[in-house]
Amino acid sequence: VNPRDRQASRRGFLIGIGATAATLVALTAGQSFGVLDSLNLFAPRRQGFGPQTLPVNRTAQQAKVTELARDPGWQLEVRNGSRTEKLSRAALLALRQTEAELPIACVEGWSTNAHWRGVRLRDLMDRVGAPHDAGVRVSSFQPEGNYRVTTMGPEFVQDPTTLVALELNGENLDLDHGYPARIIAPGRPGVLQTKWLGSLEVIR
Amino acid sequence: MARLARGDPVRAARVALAATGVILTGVGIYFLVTTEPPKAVLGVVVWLAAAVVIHDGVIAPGTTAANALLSRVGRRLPHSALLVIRTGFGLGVVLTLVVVPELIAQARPHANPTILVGDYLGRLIVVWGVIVLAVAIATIALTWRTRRTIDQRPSIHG
Repeated sequence: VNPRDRQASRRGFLIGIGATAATLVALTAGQSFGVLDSLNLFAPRRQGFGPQTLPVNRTAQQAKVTELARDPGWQLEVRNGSRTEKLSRAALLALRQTEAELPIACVEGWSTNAHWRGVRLRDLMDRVGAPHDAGVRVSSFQPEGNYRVTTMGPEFVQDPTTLVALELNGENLDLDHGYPARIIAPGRPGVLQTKWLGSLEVIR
Repeated sequence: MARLARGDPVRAARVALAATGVILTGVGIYFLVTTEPPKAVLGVVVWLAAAVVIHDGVIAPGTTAANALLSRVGRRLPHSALLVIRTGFGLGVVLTLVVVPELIAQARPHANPTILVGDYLGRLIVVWGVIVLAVAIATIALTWRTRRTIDQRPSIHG
């Protein structure tokens, strides 16, 4: 092979790989990037496809929480040592509500922005007298699952956009999005945005 | 490729890149074995070994066979046309590799109605059709252009 041909074939190889990679990205990245949505032929999810125009990673039925989530006696337990507050959904709705525009950014490779409304987590922490450098252990009432219990450092707890969300895109949170209440915080992967909240416990 | 002497900036850059890679790999391995349970480490090892087996056992032989076939069938085609054919075929194969697991998952029962929402098979067929058409047009155009250039060249045999 003469050197010119070899150089041409190396360049050709790089062009081929580049074109393939660019096409693959163009035809799948639309599940995370709105500008590519119209080209999204092969991604497993579509932006806006799901209850309240937001995809779901794990449905209420899959997490086996449907009955527990519909229980009218549900209360969110907020604990700091021996001090405990129990708040029904009505009680949470009666507190100061805050709105935030935050994405569900899933480690499975999709991302969608949504409009959330609920109670600031730090307001709830203040109610039980938690210091501002404390973290929180967040527990879901779902019976099983790797991320049933997660912890959150004070930098997330004190963020003004970290919410115990009660509404999504102008409606009551859908069962599949964590009704009666869920966590939504900035800069955390989707699996840590705990759905179907059971309790919040101050940790140090 | 020309041999690079000591003190050559390209060589220095390569050494720096390699050293950075080795250090980062070391850091990764250190945190892997110190923070993950043995079962997870074993899972990573199996995954990496499977990647090598699939590459050496399936992808490399497949690519070699396809290339051998193409060089025999396409002996009379210009280099540029062969490049277009390779790229088009490679693109189609990569997209197929992405779509096949989705088709398998779609065929199995799944409880989440917000995933696997597209007609992936139909779209894949259409995309393959577009690729074949584009490659055919480009191959014909490139071959025609190359032949015409050669025909117009004055003959050295007079």
